[in-house]
Amino acid sequence: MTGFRDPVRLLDEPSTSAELRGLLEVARADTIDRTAVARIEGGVRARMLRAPGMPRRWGIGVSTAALIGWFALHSAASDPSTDALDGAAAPATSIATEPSPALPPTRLVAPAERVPSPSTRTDAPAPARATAPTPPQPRRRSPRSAAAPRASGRASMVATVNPAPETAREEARLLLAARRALALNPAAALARTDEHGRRFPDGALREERELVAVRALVALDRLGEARARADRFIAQVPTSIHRPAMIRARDPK
Amino acid sequence: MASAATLPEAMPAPTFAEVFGEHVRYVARALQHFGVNPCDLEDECQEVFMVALRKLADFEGRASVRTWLYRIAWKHAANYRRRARPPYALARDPAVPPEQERALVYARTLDRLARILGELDDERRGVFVLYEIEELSMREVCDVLGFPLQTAYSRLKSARAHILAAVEPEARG
Repeated sequence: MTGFRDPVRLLDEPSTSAELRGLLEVARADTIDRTAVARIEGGVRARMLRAPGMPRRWGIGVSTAALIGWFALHSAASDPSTDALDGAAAPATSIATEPSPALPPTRLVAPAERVPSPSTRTDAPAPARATAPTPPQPRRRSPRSAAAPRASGRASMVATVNPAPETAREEARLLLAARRALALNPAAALARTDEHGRRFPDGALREERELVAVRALVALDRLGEARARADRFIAQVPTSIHRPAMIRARDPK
Repeated sequence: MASAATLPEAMPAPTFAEVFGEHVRYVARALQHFGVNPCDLEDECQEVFMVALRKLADFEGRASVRTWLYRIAWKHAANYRRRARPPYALARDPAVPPEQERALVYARTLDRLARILGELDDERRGVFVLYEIEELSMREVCDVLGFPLQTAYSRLKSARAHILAAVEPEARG
């Protein structure tokens, strides 16, 4: 259409000074971390739920109760009453540094259409939009729901779709206590996960419970049990968003 | 850039979760370089995605999702700059522990960059950020900012001259 060509970017220009290069390299770094992403995500989710008529297209399988549990898990971090549960400080690996439990794994339209990273992207074709949106498919299914689970092994691990809000809060409270205990008192953390397992065997935060439990077992040097539990989890929920974290927990350096 | 007519018909529309997960960091970074104060960054980022959520059903795929989000972010940042309290104190970000030297150097560099970018007018700032930092093509830059291509080149050239002049004396001093 025109004879214009994109100029060489300053960072790709050999004559660019080290000073300016340093500025631009810092500028291209991420400005927010995972915790901030989780906070933004939580804010958007909350407003989605509040706003009348707002399209609830966050993604897949996100029940209101699970959201409440997710928020409770985060907001309870500032609740002094929960600090007393174990007397332990929040561990370095707080839930905010992990993928949020209710968030399905992010996936752009298709691998071929994935937007490349800034350092590698080219003028790729724009992601397409279908003429009619595809209804999102539930990621978490209830074993008691009419829909059959994808695999028989998964049925025992998938979470209930729509627990009552108070149930979700209690689940979140228990798991928060477990996470907080993890750094200083892994035995207490494991006990909390056991309690969660007894009270909410098919709870909405069951996958998160398994992750905490495996971390606690590793911290207690019960590596065989940790590995067995992690392997069972990975086999039963191979598509869990916690799979990478579970593998890292199972195979500590 | 591919036109909507050439895009594969069977491609599913992105869900909001997908749009958010893939692009939130790009949007946050762009917002910051567009002039949003770090202490307001999360709130403003949230606002951008709320707008995106409302408009997602109207997204026609004529631009990339990322370009589309940048356009929303750019408009949002323009409104922000009109009502925000200057200056944009980047080094005051409480998320950066001041006792950590590396983090401090990083924060100072961002602060300096923000000061230099803040000396540019909106058009030059937008072109420079989108082209040099966000690495859009010039055509995509034009798509976001609504400029003719020639105007965008002119703004980029001017922005570069300003930034080089701002950085080099500081480097010598």
